[in-house]
Amino acid sequence: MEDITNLAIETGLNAGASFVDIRLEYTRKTNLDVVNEVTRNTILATEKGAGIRAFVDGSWAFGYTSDVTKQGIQKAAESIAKMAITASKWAEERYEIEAPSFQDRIEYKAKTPIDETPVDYKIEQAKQLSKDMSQMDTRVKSARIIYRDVYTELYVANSLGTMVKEETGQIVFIPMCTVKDEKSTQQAHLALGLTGGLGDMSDDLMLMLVEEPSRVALSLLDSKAVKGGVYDVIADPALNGAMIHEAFGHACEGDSLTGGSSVLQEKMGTSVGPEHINLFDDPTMKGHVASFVYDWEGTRTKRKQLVKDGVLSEFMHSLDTASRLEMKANGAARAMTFMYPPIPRMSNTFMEPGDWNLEELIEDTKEGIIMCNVNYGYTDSTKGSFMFKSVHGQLIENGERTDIVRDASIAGQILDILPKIDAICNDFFYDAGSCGTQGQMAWVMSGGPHIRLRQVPVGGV
Amino acid sequence: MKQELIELGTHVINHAEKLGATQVEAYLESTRTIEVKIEKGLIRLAAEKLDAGCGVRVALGNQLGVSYVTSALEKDLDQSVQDAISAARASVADPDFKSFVSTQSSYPTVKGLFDKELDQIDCEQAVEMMTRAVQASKDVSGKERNLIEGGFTAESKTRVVVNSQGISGLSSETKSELEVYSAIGTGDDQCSSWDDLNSRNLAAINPETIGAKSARNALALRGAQSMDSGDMPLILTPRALWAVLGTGFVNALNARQIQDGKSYLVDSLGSQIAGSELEIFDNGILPGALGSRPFDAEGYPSQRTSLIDSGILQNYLHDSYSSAKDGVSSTGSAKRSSYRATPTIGASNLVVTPGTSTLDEMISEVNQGVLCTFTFDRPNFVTGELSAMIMEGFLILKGEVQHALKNTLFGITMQDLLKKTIQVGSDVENRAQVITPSISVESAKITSG
Repeated sequence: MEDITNLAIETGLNAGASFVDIRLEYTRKTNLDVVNEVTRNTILATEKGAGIRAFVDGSWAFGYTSDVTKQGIQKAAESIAKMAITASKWAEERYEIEAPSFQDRIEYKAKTPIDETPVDYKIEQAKQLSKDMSQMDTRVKSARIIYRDVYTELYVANSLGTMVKEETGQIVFIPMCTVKDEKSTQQAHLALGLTGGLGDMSDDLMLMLVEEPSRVALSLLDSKAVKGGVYDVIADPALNGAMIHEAFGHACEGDSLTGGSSVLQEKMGTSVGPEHINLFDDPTMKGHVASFVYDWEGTRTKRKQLVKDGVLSEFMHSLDTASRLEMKANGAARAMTFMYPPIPRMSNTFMEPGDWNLEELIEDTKEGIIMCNVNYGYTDSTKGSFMFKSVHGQLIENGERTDIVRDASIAGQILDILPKIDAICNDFFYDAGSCGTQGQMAWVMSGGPHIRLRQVPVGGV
Repeated sequence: MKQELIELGTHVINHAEKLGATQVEAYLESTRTIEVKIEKGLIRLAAEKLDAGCGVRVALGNQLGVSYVTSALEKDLDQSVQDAISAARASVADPDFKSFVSTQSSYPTVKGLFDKELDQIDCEQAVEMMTRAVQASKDVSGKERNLIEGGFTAESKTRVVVNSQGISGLSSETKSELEVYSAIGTGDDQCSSWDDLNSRNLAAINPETIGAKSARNALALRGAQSMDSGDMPLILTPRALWAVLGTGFVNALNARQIQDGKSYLVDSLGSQIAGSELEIFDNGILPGALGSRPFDAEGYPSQRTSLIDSGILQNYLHDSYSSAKDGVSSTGSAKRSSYRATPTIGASNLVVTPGTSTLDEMISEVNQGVLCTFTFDRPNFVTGELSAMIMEGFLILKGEVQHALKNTLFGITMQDLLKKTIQVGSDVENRAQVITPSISVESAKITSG
């Protein structure tokens, strides 16, 4: 492989680029979709090819090819370097890519490696989960298990001397449960993932895959649509995690800052929330679905503390955003596949727990709403606004849980929301999700404790 | 490349049959994409992407398997066929699977799907388009700081579907998109918005119009405030309806979701589900439109399908699987975002028949209400409940547009939204496969804080 990566780099440099990098990828994917023990789409896929970038005077060019012969690589590298030269004619902000280089090999080890396990075994496992979910209650009409695994061998090399090979294996389970009674149909889902092999998920979490979606869906049968209004909100770990991800994490991605329009632009080192708030993005935690050792640019990754005691303290960078903002690259660049250029992304993002007990917090809240889990959410880091939709929730009246509600959505401004957090619980949970930015999907984890937000607009029907 | 793709498809069929497949489908694409991205008004990335690959579906009796590979080399396709067979062998037989598509009809000729200029565009031309758009945005914002982001993409694609039931379709299509985000001003005074245009031909993309409009949209949002909550009339413009109808209505018509009971339109065929003002079609043969194509993702001929006529639901959207299960004809609604994705069901072009009122006339009839010009949100498809953040919108008082809105949501069920559509505008816009005018909804719940 090194002869191929060297060829790409030399060709690009000779054509006039000042920085060149290449990602050579070989990926095998399995996607299963099992509904009531019947397989729907069973997909086995191969993604392989090379993505090449060239940099000239503040401008980038990118291209990819699935032809990884010497001839194919040479042709692609030359054409990409020429494009970078063309683009650089319009560049005004001139800088160079400066970063340390890394040489390493990270092997994929697992007791039951996903790339060596036949699809039959994976289907049997998904069927069993589907069967267990069906048997939870007679009102379960659809017990659906989405299973995805990805085995990747990635070589990253660049003209600064980086040459990293990293093998990874990711598994994600998304169980979805639809229940029906004479009054209504309701559904709920969960997403849990890991890096590792089959059988690496704990028994507790495997049980949760079956029980949690059916428990939530059944509870929604007696739910009401929430009435829109301004509420004190207790967000559960999944919603809290999503809120941190959407409302704050995206604004901390290096490229939302280089664009110059992030609401966090001038806020580094300043207070963005109460002192009890600490937010992290940490790809180095072992075994999570968004854990990795080197990022997609071959930079060794590290734990990043986005907010320390309420003060904005760190951003997530690629080589480009770090070089441009004269900060240190911290290994946050990810690319969906070789077909996309790497960009700064979140990984495992979470809020550190505090000291409130959840039941005491509910009692203390008196009137409000507990909002749980996330249907979806989005953010506009230029406007500073975000919105996300919960799956289910419960009203709090006189300090006690009362009616179950569904589909409540919460909206606000990024810089307004952290100051509204006045209580952080001592519990913690993490779940998996897929995040889409600039057309690239990435598996992420997000989580935290239960928190309380004072007086936020909640949308209802 | 074109004839070669058909030959590769035929090779896949033969190879799979040799390995024991009873039915096979090969979907191949060869795509060239030129892309330019800007940031702070400057060129940040230029890209040329050459993508060729194949998606394979095989049946062993009633067992189905799928695979894809990002390559159009024969040895890689052979491996992919082997993968699809392994996947089918491990799968549970699906009694509802009857057959991949076959048809007696020939494919319609749809004009305006391929533009030579777009097919041959180079990086330098793309950069030039983008810089013109940037200048137009700056001309509107004048001396104020204006951080412009956006991009231009030009794609030329050849699609081939071949199957063991006699389908053999080839279509070459181009498309391009230019989008511009303008963030104008600083600090609390910063406002931002966007505009974009999609087209199958280069001549239709006017960078100046898009750049200027994005800046004007942004400036209109300056001084956003919240408002009093309550039930009131809601006007949705084409930009807002792109998500509300394009996703919120179309996904509910997906026959597979209907069969699974996961749609608010279950058991609604032939019922009055909308105001009599509403007439909606799915039109896959509209000349030059972005969602038009001679055949769908399974090779079924494209057609025009009535969805709502005089407020009555006429059809669900079907592919071969769902239509066989219901014993009806396919509506040619199989969709595939690429060979890397499996077919799903979706609209080709969603077309809302315009009415006679202008947007200004519709606004003038509202005493107190909301004009929503952009939202991303989609409903709960089972219940139809929609609670949508007004990403861009305005308060209407006494028939006139007042200030822009912040932290404001509207809530309504899709069932009510369709039934309470009391006016359909004449201001048709064609936005990426949703072709609609503005609509006026009698009442929605507005929450603001």
